[in-house]
Amino acid sequence: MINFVGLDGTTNLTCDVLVIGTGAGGASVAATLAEAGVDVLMLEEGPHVPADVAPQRLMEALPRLWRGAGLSATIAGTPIALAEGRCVGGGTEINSAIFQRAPEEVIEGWARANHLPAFSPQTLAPLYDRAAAIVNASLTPGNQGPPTQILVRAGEVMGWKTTVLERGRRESSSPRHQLSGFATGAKQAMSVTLIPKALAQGARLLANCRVHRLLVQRKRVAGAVATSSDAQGRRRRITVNARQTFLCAGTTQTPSILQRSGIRKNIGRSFQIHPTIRVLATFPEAVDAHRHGLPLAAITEFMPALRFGGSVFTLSTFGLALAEDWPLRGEYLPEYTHCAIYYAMIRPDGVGRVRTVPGLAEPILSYRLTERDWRRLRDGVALLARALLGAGATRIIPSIRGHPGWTDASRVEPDLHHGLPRDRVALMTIHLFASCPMGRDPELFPVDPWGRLAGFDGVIVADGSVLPSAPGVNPQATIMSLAYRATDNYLDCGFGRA
Amino acid sequence: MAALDLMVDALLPDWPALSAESRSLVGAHCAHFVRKQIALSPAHIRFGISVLFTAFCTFAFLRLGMRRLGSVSREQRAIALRAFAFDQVSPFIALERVLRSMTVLAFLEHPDVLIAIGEPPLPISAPAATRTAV
Repeated sequence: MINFVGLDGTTNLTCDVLVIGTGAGGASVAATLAEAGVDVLMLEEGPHVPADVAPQRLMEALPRLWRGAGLSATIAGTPIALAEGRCVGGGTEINSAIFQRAPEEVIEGWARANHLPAFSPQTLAPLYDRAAAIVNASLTPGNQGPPTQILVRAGEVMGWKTTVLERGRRESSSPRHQLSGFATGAKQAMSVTLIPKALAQGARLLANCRVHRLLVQRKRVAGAVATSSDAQGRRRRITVNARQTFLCAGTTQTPSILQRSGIRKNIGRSFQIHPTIRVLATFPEAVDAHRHGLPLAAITEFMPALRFGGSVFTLSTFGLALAEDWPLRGEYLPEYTHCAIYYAMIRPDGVGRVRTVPGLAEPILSYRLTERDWRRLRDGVALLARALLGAGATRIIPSIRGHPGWTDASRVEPDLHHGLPRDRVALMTIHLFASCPMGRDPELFPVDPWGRLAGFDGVIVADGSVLPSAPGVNPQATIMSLAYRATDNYLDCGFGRA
Repeated sequence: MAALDLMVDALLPDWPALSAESRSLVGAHCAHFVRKQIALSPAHIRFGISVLFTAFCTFAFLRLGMRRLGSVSREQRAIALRAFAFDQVSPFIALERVLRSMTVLAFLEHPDVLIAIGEPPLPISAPAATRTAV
C-alpha cells in the first residue's frame, strides 16, 4: 500500500540521501539505500502512473509517460528519433523489459579504455544477478508466435546464431503492458519492483517534481532546487537539503541538470545511442503480429557490433511505420495481419552532445554517425533483408523514404552498393547512454569509476549516462548493475563519511 | 476549423471506410490529439513545427490559387502538403511526417476505427494519478 502525503506548507525538505530520478538507476539506488536504513527522498519529474491504470493505448502513453510526448529527436548532425521515459519508473515503464548483460568483450573493453578498477565480467556478474532477480528476468513460456519464429528461421536460413531473450516479467492472469509487447504476463518495471520496495523501507517519493539545479556550495553538492506541482496543478518551489545526492535523471537530463548547476567539465560531450533502422516485412500468410507481442528472439551472430531483433507491433505502431512514407506504404495498412516489423541495431563509434540552452527546459541533442556507423547500418539492413526474404518474407521495405522495398534477395546488395541514402533514412533509438562516462582520469571523464562526480563532493551519478559507451544490448540490466556498484561502494565507504 | 485541424482531416487514412458522421468524430479526436502532442513537445521542436506549419500555410495559399485551406477539398490539402515536402528538404518532410504519424496513431486507436476493422477496441485507462507526493 502506498501512502500519499501532501506537500502542504513544505518548501524545505531534508534527507540523508536525495535520489533524483526513479528509472533503472534511481530505483536501484533508492531501494538499496532504504534497505540499509538510510533516509532516502526520491524526486521524479514525471507523474506516478500506477500499473492498474497504465495506458493501453499509445496515444495515452505518449503524453503521460514519455519525455516530450514522444516527439524528441536529435536535431543537429544526423536526425534520430528518441524515446525516453518521464514518469515514476523512468524508461523501464516504456521499454520492452528485455534483460541482457553487456557482452564480456564490451565490459573488458570499458575496463581497459577507461581504466576501471575491479571492473570485469566476473565482478559485475553478481550485480547482474541481483538485477535479474529483482525483475525476475526469465524466458517467456509457450509459443511466441510467427513473428518470433520467423526471426529464428531467418537466423537458421543464414546459419547465424540466434538467442532467445529474457525479459522482466511475472505470470499474471490480467495481461497488461501490451504497449511494451507483452501478450501475456506482467511487466516488471521499476514502479512495481524496486520503488514499492524502497517505499516499504521508509523511502519517500515526490512525483511531478522537476529539479532545476543542484545546490552547490564551493565544491560540495548539498541538495537540489526543484519545482513541484500539487494536485491542483499549482507549482511550488522546493529546496532539498541532503548529505548526499545521487543523480539518476537519465542520459539527457543528468548532464542537463549538471550544466544548469554550473558544472560543465566533460559533461554531455560523449553522448551515445544505439542507432536503429527498421524494416517492414510482408508475408504471404497471416502472421498476426499484433496479437503476439514482442518477438522474443534476436539474431546475435554479429554482436556486439550489430544485432537484429523484432519490434513491438500494434496497429498504431504499424501505422507509425507506414507514416514515414505514406504515399508508398499507406497501401499496406489493410494488410496489417500479413506484416511484421524488425530492426537492425548497431553499436556505434559516433558520439553526440547534450547541451543545455538557457530558457529551454529540454536540452538540445546532437549526434553524428561516423562513416563506419553508416557502413554498419547499411550492412545491417542488407543482411536483415536477405535473411527475412530467405525466411519467407515476400517484401522487405527499409525505413528509407521513397524505397519500394525488395522482393528478391539478390537485388539487396546491388541496390545498397553505394551505401544508404543518408538524407532519406529514418533512424530511431530507445537506448541512450554515456553522456557522463565513468573513468579513472578526472581530466578526461566527468565521473570516477564509482560514479562520483570529478571535483565535487556529495554527488554520485548512477544512471545510463555513466556507461563508458554503447553496450550493444538493451542497457537496463547494465544500468541497474552499475547503480548497485555505485551504491554498494557508497555504503562500504561509510555512507560517504570515509 | 483551424488550419491544423484541416490538415489532420486531410491526412486521415481512407481505410477503413467510415460513415461521414463517424469520420467527422474521428477527425476531431485526431486533431485534438495532434494539437495536444505538439503542445507537449519540447519547446525547440514545437517552435520548429510552428515555423514550418506557418511556411506551409503560406505555400498552400499560393499553390491553391490564393484560396484558403478551408475552401478546398481534403485531397487538395493533402496534395499541397505532399508538394511542400516534395523538395526532399528534411525539415519540410519532417513536418508531414510528424503530422501524419500523430494523425495515423490517433486514428488507429479510435474505437470506431478498430470496430470497423474488426479488432477489439483498446481499453481507455483511468486518468493519471494527480497526487504528487508518495
